Amino acid sequence: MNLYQLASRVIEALEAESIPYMVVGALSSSVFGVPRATKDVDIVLQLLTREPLRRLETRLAEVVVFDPPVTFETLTGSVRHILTAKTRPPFIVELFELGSDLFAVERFSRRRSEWSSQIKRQVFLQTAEDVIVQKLRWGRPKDLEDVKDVLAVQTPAKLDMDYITRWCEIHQTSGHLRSVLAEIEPLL
Amino acid sequence: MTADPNRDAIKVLQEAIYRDKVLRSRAMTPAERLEEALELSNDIYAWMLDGAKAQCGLRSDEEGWVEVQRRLQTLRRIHESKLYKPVAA
Repeated sequence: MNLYQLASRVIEALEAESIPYMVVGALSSSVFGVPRATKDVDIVLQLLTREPLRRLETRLAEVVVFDPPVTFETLTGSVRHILTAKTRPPFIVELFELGSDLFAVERFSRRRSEWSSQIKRQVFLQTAEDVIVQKLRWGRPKDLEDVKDVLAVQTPAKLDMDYITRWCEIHQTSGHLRSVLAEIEPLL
Repeated sequence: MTADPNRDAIKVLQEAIYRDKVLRSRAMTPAERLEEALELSNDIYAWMLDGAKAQCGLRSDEEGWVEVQRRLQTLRRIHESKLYKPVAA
């Protein structure tokens, strides 16, 4: 099973269980920046209880295993479930429960859908602005590279920079944002 | 200490390559970029399998995938050591 077949199965199962979702991580940054390889598919889920997650596990039992232990992201408190494909390659899907972090909640409310001919359906994704804000918040080297790519491809003129600036001030990442903008200036 | 005479030339080349990548991506639709990312991801796993088999002298794909998984789990532990913590049972 290839990565888009696995992504398709997971998204199909989420829709069948009426679980609102949004693809984040490298796949979403590729949609708005420079396409790059990733070893996993990251998806944020909006859950009122954990019951739909148990039904999802049953529904996907043929294709993935839910790996213990369940972990939480120290930055936002979001709980993460790791799913490993039972088929080869052993692709990973990471499911993040939407928590109460203010940015995470606003980011989820702004999600948009994009058609994928490989996944064969509309796929909900975070916006370009939210890719930038979240990746600046993580601040790892590869995150900053993704931010640079998204800003360079989309260009600040086409992005809601007021939104980005507001969240960067709250997250105290404005310095990173200024550095990346200076790097891409020759391309604008 | 002598400056590397090739450094400026390499930097110019790097910037030209990056500019090409950006211009190419700007010419693609979001759906095309998503599709390319999925294809690249499929390819990278195939390359990891070939690398693991060659480096460890493994004959079967299944042994290779076990080694790929072991490597990915090691990388995950290193990259995520302070970013994630187990949820208390």
